[in-house]
Amino acid sequence: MKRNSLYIALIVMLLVVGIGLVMSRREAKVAELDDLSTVRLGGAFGLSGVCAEWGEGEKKAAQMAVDEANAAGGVNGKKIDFMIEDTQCENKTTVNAVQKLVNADHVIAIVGPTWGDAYQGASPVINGSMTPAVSPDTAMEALEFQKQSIDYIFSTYAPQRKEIAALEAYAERVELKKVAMVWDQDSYSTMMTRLFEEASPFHGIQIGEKHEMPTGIQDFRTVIAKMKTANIEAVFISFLAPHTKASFLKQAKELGFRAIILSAADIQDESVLESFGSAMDGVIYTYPVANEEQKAFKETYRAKYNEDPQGPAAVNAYDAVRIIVAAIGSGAKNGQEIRNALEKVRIKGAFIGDLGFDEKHQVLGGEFELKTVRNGAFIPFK
Amino acid sequence: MKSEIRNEKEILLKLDDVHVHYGGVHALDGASVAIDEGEIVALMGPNGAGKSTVLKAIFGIAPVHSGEVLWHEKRFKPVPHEVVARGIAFVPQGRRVFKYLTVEENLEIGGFIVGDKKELARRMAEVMETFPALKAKRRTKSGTLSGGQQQMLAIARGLMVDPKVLLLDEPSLGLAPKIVKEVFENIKEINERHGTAIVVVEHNIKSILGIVDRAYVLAKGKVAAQGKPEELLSSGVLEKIFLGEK
Amino acid sequence: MEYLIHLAVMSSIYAILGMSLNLVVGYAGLLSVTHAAFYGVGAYAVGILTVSRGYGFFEATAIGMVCAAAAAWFIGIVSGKFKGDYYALVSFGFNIIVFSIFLNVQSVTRGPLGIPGIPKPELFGTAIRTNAQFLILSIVFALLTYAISQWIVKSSFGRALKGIREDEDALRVFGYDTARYKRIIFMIAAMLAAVAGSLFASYISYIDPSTFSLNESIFILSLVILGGLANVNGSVFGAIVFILLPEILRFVGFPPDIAAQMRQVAYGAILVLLMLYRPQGMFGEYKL
Repeated sequence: MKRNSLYIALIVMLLVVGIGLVMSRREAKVAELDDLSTVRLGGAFGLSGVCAEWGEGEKKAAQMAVDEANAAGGVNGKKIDFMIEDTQCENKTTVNAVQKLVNADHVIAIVGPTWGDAYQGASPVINGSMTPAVSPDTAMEALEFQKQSIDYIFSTYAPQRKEIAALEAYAERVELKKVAMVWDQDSYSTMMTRLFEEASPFHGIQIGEKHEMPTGIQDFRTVIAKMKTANIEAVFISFLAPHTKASFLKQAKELGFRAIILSAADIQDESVLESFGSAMDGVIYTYPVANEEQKAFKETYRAKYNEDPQGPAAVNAYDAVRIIVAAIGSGAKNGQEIRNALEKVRIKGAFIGDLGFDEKHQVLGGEFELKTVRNGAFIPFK
Repeated sequence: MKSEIRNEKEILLKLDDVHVHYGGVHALDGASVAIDEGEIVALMGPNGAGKSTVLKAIFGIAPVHSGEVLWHEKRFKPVPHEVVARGIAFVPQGRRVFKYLTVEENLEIGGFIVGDKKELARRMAEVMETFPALKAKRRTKSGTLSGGQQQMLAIARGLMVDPKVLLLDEPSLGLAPKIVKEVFENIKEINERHGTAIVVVEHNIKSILGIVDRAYVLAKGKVAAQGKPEELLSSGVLEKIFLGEK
Repeated sequence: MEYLIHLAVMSSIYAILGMSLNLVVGYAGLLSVTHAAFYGVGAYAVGILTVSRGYGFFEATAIGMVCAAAAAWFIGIVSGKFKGDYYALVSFGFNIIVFSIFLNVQSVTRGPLGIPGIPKPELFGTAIRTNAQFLILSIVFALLTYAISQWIVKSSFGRALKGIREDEDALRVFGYDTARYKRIIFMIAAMLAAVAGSLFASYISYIDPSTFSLNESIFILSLVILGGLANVNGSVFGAIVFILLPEILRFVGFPPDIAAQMRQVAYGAILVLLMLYRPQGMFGEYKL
């Protein structure tokens, strides 16, 4: 192939992008919903890569909510046009996905991005374009630690501080004086252990051994053996992926490690339970109090997709769509108004019964219960 | 044609009882070789005799265990990128021209240590006169040249530093007889025109003995015989060494 | 338009990375899989110095370049003894070491949490506000990198690099201190990669260690190979393809249920086909 042909091919490719952009979005970017025939809603989910376990379930749950809204006549008589992009679970590609949704697709709001606490590069794009993003799984505390602006960023995920407080309250009740920590070098895990350590003095807990592991590690036998020798009575674990936690639990069992193992809500993942079963028995974790709406959500999801909701945040994605729809339904016509409406609106959520946002753009309320795994099932812990 | 070493004091390059060890293998086992100014000297011997190792020891690319390499009777430790500055040029076995570079670029590489651009251009012109075939192909990538042309380029490249000694390692390797003849004629011409001493390792005994002043015959890392070509040919020592007779 | 500008900025950053790595891999023949480390050094220099120490972008970039050059000098000394596949493995190791430093020296780099809020550059007292303005800056740097690369490869230094690539031992015979040449080009490439890192950090305004892992080094190497070894234009082409191709695939109407996975498959298939058709890369002079 001659070089001239290659240059031509390159120009053609660039033209294809340009034409693709023009043809797919004939209407020019407008600031007001009134001038559009549909409501363009973006979805930035991790559909490939390390967070795909979460992202796939979020996408399906969000789509379910969009389909329900459209079946009920849409929002203010307009159908929702749901545009989904894959963030590929990396900082750079999350930015690309959000850039495309905001600047090429001109969406009015975004559900996502998946793991927005890890992929913070998208935050300036969201805030700068005044496009509200409601993430199903972002720990807002991470953005707070980083002093990132949360102007247009919301999360329907459980507030982590509250969750940690509930876990540590249990530890205090059963008089656990010293708790070790094992976590991996993921930003979420790092944040969780920081929160745990910050809250511990208020619950009379001393932090014992700390073990920071490389992300992706699956073999914890050395550190478990070490803690066993040190007669650790309790350990708080936090890892990037739920199946990593399950691996820890399995190995702890194999090595006869009898300490109480504490975890946060993200361990409750049906697909992980399927793989590990009763190897996960005994872990104690906090989980938002279940309500009837969550059961209904699960049943609807199962009926639609023939499977259980995938990942820990599917229900949060469902609620994210519904609260955005409610905000638009209240009369908001552009990104700024939708953001203002999100700060005020309350709906009956599937995740939390009375769903609304506080000043930190985290869900209001939200009580946590203790749960455990017994005989390969997630059950309340008494 | 010079027939003997004129004067011990004028010896240009000498190896004195040099031992080269590659692990347990003694590639040179006390070899002593001397090259006078303006001579053509052949190094001959069966495979594994240590002929190429002599050249490598001179150029500092063989591990010398003991013995001395002397330049103008002064001992020196050869380091490859410094030896050439003394006036010793090495044309390695297999030509090893830079295939993706042109003839001209290959020659420029050969003249790397020539600081002055004008001098470099002058030498290039001179070398092109010695090898007119290269002049016609100066902008051609050397990978496209024939085997014989590449060998000429390799030799020409060595000449760019106007060396006092040119070390040639098997210049006829892989070449057709007609081309070999041409190459040897070039070697002779270089010696006569520039007064360059030439040390050539060769298997092609009959052809090389026709142009050299003296020859060394190596066997098992040692010098087994040395002398003028006619002496070596008439004494029968070559048959003994090559065919393994005592 | 904003979206295209964004893609153009990313393309110019990766063009700098590609051109600089090509000097080492394509011209000197050193299979280096550690370029992301220098990219990261530049990014972290800007991230740390502008956010915590109040340095300007250009000062921080200059410091990043010096740090990258120093790291390259050290890596060059250690890895200089190795060749071919062994060199690649040693360079692997260095990328992992540098990545671990980004991840673990948390008092400086903030570890996995990363560094947010990296400001945009200021030019003559005025901050760059829009992506279009940033694009101009990144294109200027890309053009500078292009000019530097072309100047190097067309010079006698570039000729020596090609000689090293082809037959280093033969080149030494002519008086070249090849170890020194390799170190110098490695340092130049590292400094240019650091510039790309500075641009990335200040454009995205957030960096974390995951961006500068071994995967990123492999990504940069892939775009160099696809574009063509020992061809500066090829690296520009490779960068544009690698940035645009996944974005173009976003517009292809795959079934929604499997769209993400199909795009990955299509992306991989296109790359494989391109390499089958042109194993030396689109503009390459020779095969690896």
